[in-house]
Amino acid sequence: MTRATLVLALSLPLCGARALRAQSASDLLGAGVRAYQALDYGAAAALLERSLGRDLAAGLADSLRARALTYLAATELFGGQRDSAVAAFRQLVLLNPRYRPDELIFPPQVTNLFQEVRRATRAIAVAVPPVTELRTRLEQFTARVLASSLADVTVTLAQEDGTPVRQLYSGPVADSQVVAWDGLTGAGAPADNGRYVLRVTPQTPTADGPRARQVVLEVKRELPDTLAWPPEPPVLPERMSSGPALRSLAAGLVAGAAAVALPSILAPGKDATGARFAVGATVGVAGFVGFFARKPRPLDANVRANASLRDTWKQRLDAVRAENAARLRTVRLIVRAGPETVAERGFP
Amino acid sequence: MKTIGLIGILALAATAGARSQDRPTLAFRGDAGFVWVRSDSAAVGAVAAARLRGPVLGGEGRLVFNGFSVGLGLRSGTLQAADQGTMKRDLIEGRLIVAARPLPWLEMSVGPFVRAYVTDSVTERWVFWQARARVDAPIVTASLTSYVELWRALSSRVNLAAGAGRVQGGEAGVVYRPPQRPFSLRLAYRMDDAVVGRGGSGSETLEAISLAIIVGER
Repeated sequence: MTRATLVLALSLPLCGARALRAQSASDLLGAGVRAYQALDYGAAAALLERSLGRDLAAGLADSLRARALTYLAATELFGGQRDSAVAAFRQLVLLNPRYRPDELIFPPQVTNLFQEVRRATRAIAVAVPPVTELRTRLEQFTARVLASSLADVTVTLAQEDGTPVRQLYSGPVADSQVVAWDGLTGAGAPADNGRYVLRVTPQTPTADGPRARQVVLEVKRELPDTLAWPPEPPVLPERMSSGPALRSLAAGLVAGAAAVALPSILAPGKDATGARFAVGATVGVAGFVGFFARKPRPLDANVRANASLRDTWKQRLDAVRAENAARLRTVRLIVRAGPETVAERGFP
Repeated sequence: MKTIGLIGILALAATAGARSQDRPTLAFRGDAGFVWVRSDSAAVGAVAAARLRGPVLGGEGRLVFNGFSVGLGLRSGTLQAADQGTMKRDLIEGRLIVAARPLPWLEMSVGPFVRAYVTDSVTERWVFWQARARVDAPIVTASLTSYVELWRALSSRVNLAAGAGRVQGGEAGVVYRPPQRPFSLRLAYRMDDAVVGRGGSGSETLEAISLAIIVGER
């Protein structure tokens, strides 16, 4: 026999015992129910108590545990143990304030006692969805506050270290109350990443009163995509180029200079008349006339067209800016809820 | 050289004819001007100079088609001695040109040019074969244009004993086309210089200032 085989052989009985124990809790519940239906209240009480036993309780889900407590209370009631029945119902109310025994299964004696105990036992609970995705301001995270009887409660949201974030509700809860959170802090800003505690606290805590309940919320921010800025529009030139004016001036001055210089170029050393100066000056003046005629000036049509383009672009820019600001205001939050627990005393 | 000029004329004309697609248009130019002529002759170590001046009238017609043109021009006037002397000559000039515009701002032309100074007793006649290049530079588009034109004789002949030497010239001016008008006005200064004799024993220099009216597209 190898060492692996030995380990396997030793571990099998351990695994089998654990499975047997979980199975036994539900089997005990089933056997207890059958004994109750057979009116064997002594056996039924023993079986049901064993199914709810501390060492087996882990094997029962809350719904089965509530069923076991109901049958146990009914068994004790019909067995003449009214106090035990009240104690079982009291556990049931504390387990689930909204639980009601099925009136088709249990006779009025049982349901009436349950209602009596429920009214006397003040319990609160809070139920939240495991995961909620919401856009701040636009959508809401909802929690349902449950109460076994009329109770004044305060629902607060705080950071894990106890720093208050926001009070979500303060008032009476007769049966259940939906409490909503829009993802904002008390200052109106979207909640940051982190762990928060949603806490339901009775407004007048008493020794025998309901205990505060809390749920840890893991909040994660997801920044929204923002729109890209619109590109600046291609604009038309708003002034004429200085090139044509300078070319006009050059054309006049060069031709005028050529007229003056012709004798020197073609017949150097010979006297020439002053006629060339008259023509040269005239052509040069024509160059200046052309320069001023084609002097750069604003192109009004282009200026108007560009103004229209810029206005349109600015409107698009403002729209994108507003849209981005709105998107940034409505941050997307993912809220993951932990299990509901009893709040410790002294929690702020 | 005359042969070269003739070949040039024929080549330009043939190319113009081959590319001719649009209907030919006619352009006319009439001009009035004033001419100064200075004749220098060096004989036996002494330099003699004669100066003449006087008004001239002229005209030129061109047949223009597809950037090519063929033109015929004539100019004449009576010149008198500038120093109140009695010397008097008639000036007559005529020319035939074939021109092409390979570029919008450049006109090349070739053709014969005849100039005659006529007195009662003798006529001095010059015959050139010219090659000309003209550059147009618009000052204000389509209404005001300056231009410079240079030419040189491919061959020259004169009925003087010394014979003809190098002959060249140039012209510069401005053309104004009034808006919505079918004509243009041109102011130009021209200078031609001809060397008499192979050794440069003399020269004749002609200056002219002219104002012209041009009808039609050139």
